[in-house]
Amino acid sequence: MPQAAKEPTPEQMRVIKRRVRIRFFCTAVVCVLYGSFALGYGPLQALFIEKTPPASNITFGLVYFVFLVVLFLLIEFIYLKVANSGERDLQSSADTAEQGRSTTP
Amino acid sequence: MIGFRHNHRTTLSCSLLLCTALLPGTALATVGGGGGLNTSAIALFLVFVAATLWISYWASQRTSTSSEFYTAGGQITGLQNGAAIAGDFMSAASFLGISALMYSAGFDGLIFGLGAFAGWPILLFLLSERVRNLGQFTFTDVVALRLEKRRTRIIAVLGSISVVIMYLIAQMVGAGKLIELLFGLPYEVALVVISVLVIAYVAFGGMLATTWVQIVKAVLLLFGITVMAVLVLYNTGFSFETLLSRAAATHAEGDAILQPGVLYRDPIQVATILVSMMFGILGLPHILMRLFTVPNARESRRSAFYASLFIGYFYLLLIVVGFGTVVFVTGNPKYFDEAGALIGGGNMAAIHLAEALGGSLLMGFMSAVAFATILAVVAGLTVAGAAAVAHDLYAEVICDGKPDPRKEIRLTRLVTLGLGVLAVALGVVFQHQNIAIIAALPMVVAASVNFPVLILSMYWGGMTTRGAVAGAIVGFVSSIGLMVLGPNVWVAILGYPQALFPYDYPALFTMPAAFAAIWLFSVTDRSARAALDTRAYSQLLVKSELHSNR
Repeated sequence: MPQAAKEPTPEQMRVIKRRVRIRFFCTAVVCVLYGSFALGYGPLQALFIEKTPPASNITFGLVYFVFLVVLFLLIEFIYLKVANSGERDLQSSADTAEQGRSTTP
Repeated sequence: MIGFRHNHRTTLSCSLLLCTALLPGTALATVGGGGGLNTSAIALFLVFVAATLWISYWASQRTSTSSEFYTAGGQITGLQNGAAIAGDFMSAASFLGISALMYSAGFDGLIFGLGAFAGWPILLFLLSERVRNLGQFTFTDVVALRLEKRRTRIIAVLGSISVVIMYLIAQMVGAGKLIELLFGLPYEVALVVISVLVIAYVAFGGMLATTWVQIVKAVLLLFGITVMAVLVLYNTGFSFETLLSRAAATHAEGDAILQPGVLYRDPIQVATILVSMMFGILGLPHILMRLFTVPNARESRRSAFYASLFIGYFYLLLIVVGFGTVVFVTGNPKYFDEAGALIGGGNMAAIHLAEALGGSLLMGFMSAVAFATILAVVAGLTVAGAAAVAHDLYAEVICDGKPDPRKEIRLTRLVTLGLGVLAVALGVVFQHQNIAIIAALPMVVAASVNFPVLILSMYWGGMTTRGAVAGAIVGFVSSIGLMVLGPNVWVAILGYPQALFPYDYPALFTMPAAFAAIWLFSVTDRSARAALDTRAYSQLLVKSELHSNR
């Protein structure tokens, strides 16, 4: 590490871990839903070819494609909001740690 | 139904080679419905060229340092960068290739659309903040931060350069053929035209010019596809239901085009495509490099979000346009030759649709947009290639991080020129090769080499230099090896009756192999260097969450 980055304080570690958990949770949700699209070619094929509603030409597969795109965007939007607030938490914990250091004899 | 059955195989193979990496452009058209040069396409393209050259001139006044050249000084906003990322990624292949696949196989074309979209949320969650905070100009900066600089940089640069060159070959071969069809220019001349324009953008305007070229292109492409989608819906009474029922009634496969199974029946095959596409995106050097053009992690997140928004919007509209090609192109004798083949090949379906909906003006516009698309993508690749050589290799490895800034920027421009010449040469050399394999390679290599090393360098403190090097080698060798044993090379090029490996996109297997190798060679690493590598992780953690390099 070329820069003299400091070791994280316990409070910073707590916030960082929470942020990482959120990231991996969102990633897992996206990956599972995304992967399930492949199941439409195997075990879920009957579901994917079902008409939704029954009298129409719109198949569940098409609806699922649109649903995934819209849902992923929604999850991203929520993540943006959460990440912004998490960043503020982290910054304030960094400021606190900095103050602690500067007032320590 | 004219020509559909007759050309089904040709159409699919042509479409697939466009779609595979969603990168390479192949095929536009001279062809409106009747053949001959399209003057509105040429006029609109010349306007685009004039505007983008002016942008390059404007940007050249503001580009003098390495930081300005590689990352536009880090002053691009999240919205601008999101549009530029979308412009960098949404290639002619996305538009022409996927709509062509939908024209021939309906629903199955959407596999590539979903694959091309789903990588972006992951980019936002896992990469956008940490990559921005840890790197300076390239993703290699991030990987080399806590590992042994020399070995890590060399291996990351090899991954980076190989992806850029493979991507470039696919783009140039596709582009040459596309422009040959569109403007009637000889293949080689088309390559030179592209190369000269891209050199002008990049060598003079660097990332700033490239960014604005990509933004302009993204806006034009989104505008064009919106117009086409609205016109398709207008002609079907603004009823999606009517569009689908007419598509099913027109297509030879009938109702089957509305559901999975016309082109693919094996879920593993579909999974291989989905994995290669999603994780390939996360390892593309020219996309990752765009994260450094914004001032901080917050803007980096916004970039990824806006990119998703634009790309998601694009693929949603592509459903309408794709089924629109079935309704309005199939069976129209204007778009088929005497042998019953679609004029200009299967990838012309969307261009013919543009002509059917908006006459030669809309067709000319969409053709010009497709050409502009190639320029924007090749420009992004050229910047990434130049940065890999001049920054990662020369400045950081050869000069040990202390280069003469003037020499570095001079070298960057020379490398840009060299890449332009190389692109033409590679385009000529590979013009008769199977584009499908050329196009699939960079996505698979990016997913199996760049992505595992990058993600573990940021999220797993146990990764050591030895593990990173071993993982990259395993990823690279297994990707190339399985692709050679797969249908695209073993059957299509080498002529064997059956492939030894059944899938075209092996990332589903090669990426886990790379991860496993990184883990195995890291946990068994007892060297002094390994201790340094793992010890530096906690500092990296703070920097990745809190610090900004500029």
